[in-house]
Amino acid sequence: MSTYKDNDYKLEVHDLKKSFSEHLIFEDFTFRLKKGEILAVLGDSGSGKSTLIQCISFLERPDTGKVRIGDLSIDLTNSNEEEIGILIDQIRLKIGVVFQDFNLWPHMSVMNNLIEAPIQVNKEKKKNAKKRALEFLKEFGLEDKENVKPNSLSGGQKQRVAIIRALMMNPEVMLFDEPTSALDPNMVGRVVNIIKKLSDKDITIIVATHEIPFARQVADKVMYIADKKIVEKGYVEILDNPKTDKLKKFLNI
Amino acid sequence: MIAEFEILKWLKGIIVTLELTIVSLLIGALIGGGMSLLSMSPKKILNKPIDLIIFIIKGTPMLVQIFIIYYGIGYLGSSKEGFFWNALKSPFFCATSFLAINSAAYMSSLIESAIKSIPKGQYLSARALGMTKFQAYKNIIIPQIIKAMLPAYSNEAVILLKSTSLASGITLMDIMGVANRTIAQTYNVGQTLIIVALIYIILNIILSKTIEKIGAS
Repeated sequence: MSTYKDNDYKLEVHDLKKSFSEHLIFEDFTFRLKKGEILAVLGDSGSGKSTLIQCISFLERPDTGKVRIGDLSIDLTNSNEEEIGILIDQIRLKIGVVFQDFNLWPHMSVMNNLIEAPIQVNKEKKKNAKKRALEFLKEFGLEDKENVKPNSLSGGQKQRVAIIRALMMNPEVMLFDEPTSALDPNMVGRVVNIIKKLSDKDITIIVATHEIPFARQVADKVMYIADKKIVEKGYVEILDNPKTDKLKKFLNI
Repeated sequence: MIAEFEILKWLKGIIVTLELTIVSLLIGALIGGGMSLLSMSPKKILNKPIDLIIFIIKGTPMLVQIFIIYYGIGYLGSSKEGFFWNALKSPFFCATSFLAINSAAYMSSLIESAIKSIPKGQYLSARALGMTKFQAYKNIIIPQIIKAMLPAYSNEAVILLKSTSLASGITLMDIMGVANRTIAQTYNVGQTLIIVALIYIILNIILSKTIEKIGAS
């Protein structure tokens, strides 16, 4: 049951702050996304995009703030440790992360990469998990890669396996960290199509990227971060009409 | 009759060598695992003593080490009773301790570099998919650590098996012990030592193939 007024919003991040020891990474990060919306988080290298992805998925613990996904909400400021621990385990199951380096497990075949978490975490029957994995592999054009090891795949293929691995857990939100950085430029169009297809399936998506043309193609909304703050955010059209000098400079206008 | 007795003698020697190798490898792996964790600790009080122990073990001749354990340590204390004294009187205990400590020192470095070779992202991706810390280590990290260290571990096991021959220096009747006695009785130096070399080669082939198979499974 949600305590929020507007259930249209699938993901809400409120006043999020993260620092490593004394070093502040970002603060005052507040934004929200509707079901199936795609947000591109733009910023230079080192601006905290990857840390934001890790904070939303709670792979890094934010210092303060709130994250809500659907009816699950974590308030880092007002909840006790035990409660936060339980909620983090639950919220992680709603989120799929596709890492910059994909982080496929090299000692396992593609199939085992896909079915390991559903079997271990969701206690899904192996037969059923395999059946679903095969359907995904077919959908993503990887049906002949079931038994190969990740190291023999191309960058694009690895990424698609990483996406399927996340999809196997039925996420409501997917986070992509620099999805185009390890790919040939001619693969970017394919990534755009895949992300848009996921959004059509009502998955809410955040993409961290520093590539402006990619952000323009893929995103409904954009958020530009610099100097530890959100500088501008809004629909993708703000890239055509930036209000701040910082964003203008980033866009080379 | 004499031939049968000879074969039995050599077989007993081989069994002693294998016992020394296997027991030392197992104890060495356990101690080495613990040492590697301590050595990676950011706390100096934990990592410095381990680094010192490794430095001493790697920096001194193995023959000197086994003599110190067998002839030296027992005489440090004044008491000539109790478990410690009795254990130190046993050549097998001393040889196993010496080999296990040596194995642990090398294993510790092996395990440490294997752990460091696994990118953090491997763990993060497992956690992101909802695995617990235990599941992530058991299914994702530890299999990769084992795979990363297996070739070097196989080498280490071969070196350890060869080092068991030093145990003959403290009266243990391993392969080399049997060989020494045979040479003393027969003066047949060349033939005996060639047999010894062949036995060690065969044992080493079996040992490395076994480790390879364990790794593959």
